[in-house]
Amino acid sequence: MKILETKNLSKRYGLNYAVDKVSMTIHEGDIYGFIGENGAGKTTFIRLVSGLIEKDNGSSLLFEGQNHHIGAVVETPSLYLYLSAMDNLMAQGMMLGKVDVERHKELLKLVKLDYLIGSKKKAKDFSLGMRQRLGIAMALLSNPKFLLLDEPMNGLDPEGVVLMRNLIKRLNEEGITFLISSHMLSELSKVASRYGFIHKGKLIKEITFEELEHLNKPYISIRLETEELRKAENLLKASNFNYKIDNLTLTIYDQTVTDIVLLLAKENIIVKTIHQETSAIENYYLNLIGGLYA
Amino acid sequence: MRKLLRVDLFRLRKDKTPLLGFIVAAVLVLMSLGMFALLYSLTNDSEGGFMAIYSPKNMFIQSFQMGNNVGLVVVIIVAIFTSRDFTQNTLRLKVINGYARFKVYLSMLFTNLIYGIGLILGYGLVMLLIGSLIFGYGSPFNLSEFLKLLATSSMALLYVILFVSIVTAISMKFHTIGASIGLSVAVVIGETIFSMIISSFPTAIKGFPEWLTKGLSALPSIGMTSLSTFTYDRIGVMVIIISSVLLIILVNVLGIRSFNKSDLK
Repeated sequence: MKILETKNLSKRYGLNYAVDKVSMTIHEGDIYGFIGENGAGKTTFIRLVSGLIEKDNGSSLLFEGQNHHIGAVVETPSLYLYLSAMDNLMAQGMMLGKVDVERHKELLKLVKLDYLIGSKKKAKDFSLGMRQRLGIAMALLSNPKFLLLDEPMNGLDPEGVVLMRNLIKRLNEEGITFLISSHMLSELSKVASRYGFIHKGKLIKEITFEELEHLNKPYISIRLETEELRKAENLLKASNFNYKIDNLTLTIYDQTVTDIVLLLAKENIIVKTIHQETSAIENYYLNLIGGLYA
Repeated sequence: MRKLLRVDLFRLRKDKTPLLGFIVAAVLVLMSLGMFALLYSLTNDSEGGFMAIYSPKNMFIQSFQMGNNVGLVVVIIVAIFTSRDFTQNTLRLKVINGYARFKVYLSMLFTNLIYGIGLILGYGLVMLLIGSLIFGYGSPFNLSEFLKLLATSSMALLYVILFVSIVTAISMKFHTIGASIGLSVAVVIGETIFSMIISSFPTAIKGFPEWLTKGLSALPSIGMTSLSTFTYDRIGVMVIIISSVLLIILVNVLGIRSFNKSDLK
């Protein structure tokens, strides 16, 4: 089932397109990582999809037109700051037409805020992490099939980040599809199953987790003297290694540093530098948009 | 819609700001009665002139005037209460949960009306009861007097509905507490000053048409003055009712249209 399908979705502020003809499809079970720099259009897109702002052009269809609930935590969580955690859930329950105190307690346990059950502490006194988690608990109250999270890791401490990551994975296993926007790319890469890269309002690339893994596999980079390069290349070719040459640098895939060093040492090839690298998702993204602040 | 109203009333009950309005209104009751007592004791009211203008029943109707003490409290609290739903980003919960924008608007309006009318009626009734007990009602209180008071206060209530609608529309348009309070107070005070100037025309301009004089009651503050002094006639009543109902409809239609088009954070 297509959870979300947008076609040429656009939103313009003045002469600038905040979202420019974005066509995206999110399937049931996806954790769709939405990546882009500040101001790239991630939040505007989420607002468009959740009905907070009106589109200028294009279309957006949820659940193939069927009627299901969505949940969304856009930027800062929507909380009644003068209410306690339980009262916030109560207000959300009233809105949905079903107040079930036991369910509220369950949700607080799920987001690891069970210590707030019965507490009169107001949401205004919560930490950012607590607010984020309560925001998600409120969004979950409607049993949504699709949850849109805008920068859910923002401002969280390391423990909060791990908690949030595990929560997302668990909810996904329970059948909730996610659209998560973030600029904490490395964190996003630990949960997302698909990625969409947005730049200046345009969706410039969509890839799966597997494709990204392939692109980001570790490699060994060796720098050699000119005269040594030919010898090394012949040796690698003879050994059937997966490699490429760029100037005086050899990039070798699927091997360990030890194996490479031993092989080159046997032939007395002098290595100037050698190190192992992983092209992180950040690098992939920067390459995609053409460098920093492109 | 009923679910939304339940949430907004829950908010109203739990939020401290509306409570603050009740406390300020209680203080205003005490201050007004004190001032009334002071003026009453200083004035030689042997001919009943003082009570003809400042009797508890006049003060009861005057409490519906939005440019005055408790009216301004309602304006400010309604502006804060409405815009807080935007500043705390909680209004978007209603939209994300699938409610049509006009329902969100109407729920907010009804909640504000419940609060505004409740506070003004409460204030007015306390003034009427305590004032009558201490200083007397000012004229014989019988069924006809009761019905007159009921009819007058019902018409005055239309103005409360109108101004609460205006404040709601402004707050739903501008979303911030500062702008909502500032603009709402400016509209209420501005209308009072404008009406005050216009109301001087019939006496200041020779040969000012009679029909136009009666038509001036279409301005809320001028209509309110004739209600609070019980100096209205049949045509004045018609002008007051028709103009205020039309204005209420106009303000809310414009408010809903504007809210439908507005982007939510």
